[in-house]
Amino acid sequence: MWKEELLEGCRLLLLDVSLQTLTYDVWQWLPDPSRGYSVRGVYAMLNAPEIPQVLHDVELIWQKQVPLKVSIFAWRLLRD
Amino acid sequence: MQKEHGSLGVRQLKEFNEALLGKWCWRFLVDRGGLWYRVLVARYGEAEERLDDGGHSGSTWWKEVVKIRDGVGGGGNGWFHGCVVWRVGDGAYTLFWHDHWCGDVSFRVCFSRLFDLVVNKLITIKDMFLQGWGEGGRLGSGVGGCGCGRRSY
Repeated sequence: MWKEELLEGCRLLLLDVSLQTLTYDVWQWLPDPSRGYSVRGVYAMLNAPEIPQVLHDVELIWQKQVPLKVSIFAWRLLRD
Repeated sequence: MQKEHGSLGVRQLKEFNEALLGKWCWRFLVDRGGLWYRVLVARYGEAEERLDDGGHSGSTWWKEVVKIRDGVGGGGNGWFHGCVVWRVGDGAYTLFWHDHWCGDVSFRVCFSRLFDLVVNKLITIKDMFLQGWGEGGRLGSGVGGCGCGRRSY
């Protein structure tokens, strides 16, 4: 019957859950779980330059000392 | 850009403003006891521990704060939502059926047909556990994975 199946599904989900009796339920700030939100930390996070992946590849691939055909091969490989 | 890279050290105003406004969003979660929170509840209203967005009547400040909290609009981008998580400890403050404590969906939604049959729809995880979902219905010793997710806020 559907009720038993649902109940079993629910129970399966709960199998892995074990409550931590010594700690409260709390909100956690993932970038800094122990201290929580800080304006300084968030400002730095919002300003963190996202790693320019393409530029990085370009710098890596197009080197003078690398034979041109190797560079082209690598370039095509990364864009496939 | 940082000073050592040739900038004048002037703050990025947009980001700095967002970081300051975001602090309010954080305080909505962890510091509800203050007078300032009661003022906001009186001004904008609250439902299920969540301040209403106020619609068109909100002040400019409030609209910007809500954008960050809800991760919508230009300022939002969802960074705030992505940084907070509700960590379940003993389960005493988490509603078993309503809160998103086990992944991103509530049990109410996941098991809506079971939820319809439930008598105490506001039961906490702790009470649910005590009534016995574990072996013999005992509270665990604190080992093993505990739930975490994003409770509504």
